[in-house]
This record gives sequence, structure tokens and C-alpha cells, in this order.
Amino acid sequence: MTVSHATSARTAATDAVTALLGTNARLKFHPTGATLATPGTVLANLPLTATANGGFSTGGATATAGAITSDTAAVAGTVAAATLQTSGAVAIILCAVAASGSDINMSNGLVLATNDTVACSSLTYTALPQ
Amino acid sequence: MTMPDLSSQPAEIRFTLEITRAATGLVETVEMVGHIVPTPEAEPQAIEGDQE
Repeated sequence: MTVSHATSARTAATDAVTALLGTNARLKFHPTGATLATPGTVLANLPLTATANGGFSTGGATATAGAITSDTAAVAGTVAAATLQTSGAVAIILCAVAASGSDINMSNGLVLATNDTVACSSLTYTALPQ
Repeated sequence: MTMPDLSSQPAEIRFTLEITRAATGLVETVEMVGHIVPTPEAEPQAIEGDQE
């Protein structure tokens, strides 16, 4: 049975999760094997806007991140997961990632080479999709 | 009596990445979607990506 939530509940859930990110949160990308407890190898480490809620907007079922600083990949690898972490490197959100449509061939996944620059121009989080 | 199994849609993250290749200088733009991975206690399974 699938559960549906009122918009107020969806908003509350999203805000509650992003609040855990605090200030100076990070968006990090990892190869396969990452877990919440042990995210492991970091391929790229992007600082979020240094405000509360990880720099995300509040008051909506979907939160949108503010400006995100780019990073240069220190380690080469294939991106399999992303985490949103606190300034103290505690992972609050872990997700598997995959391409959802682009102009490049993603059949082998998103492969980062050392010194590739990774920028994130858009980031949204929805705790409870409809 | 068995408890009903209530479950909602998984949380979702969407982001757009712009990768500037160090070797060539080319910029690749990729739209990504991630679905939150259940904790091992809730539902043990391997990390999987969902492609739209």
C-alpha cells in the first residue's frame, strides 16, 4: 500500500532533514560501496551555501540548494553515490545516482578523472515525493 | 494479526553537474537523479541507481 502525504507533511519532512545538515554542509560524491555510516572514498567534495539547513530553501516540499562551490576531483573513479554531510562529515543523506538524460553517453556511468572540475548548478531534495 | 505494510515513495535528490575535463577542457553537463538508499536495518539491498 502506498502512502500519500499532505503538502504540509511533505514540507515538514523536507525541512526537518535539511535542518540536520546545519551550516557549512557538503555535497560529496563517492564510488560504489558508500554507506551512511562509512561513505568512504570521496571523489569530489562541494561546499554548499554556508547557511542553516545546508543552504537549502525551506517551506516547501522540495528544497532547493543555494550556490554550490565547485571542486576538483582528487581521486579518479566512477560516481555511484552522493551524500549530503554536515560540516563535521556526518552523512545525513545517502543516495544512489544515475544519469537521467544528457547529451553524453552515460552507459558506463559518470567517470571522473583526476583534476576534473565538478560543479553543481542545480540541487533539489524532496523527502516525501507525492 | 499482521500489521499492514505502509510505505511511501522514496526520497529523491536531483542535481545538475557540469564536469570540466582536465585533459581536454571540454565541459559535460549531466542531469542526475538519486533515490535515497534504505538503511540496512530497514531493507538490506545493494546500492542501485534508477535511470529515467
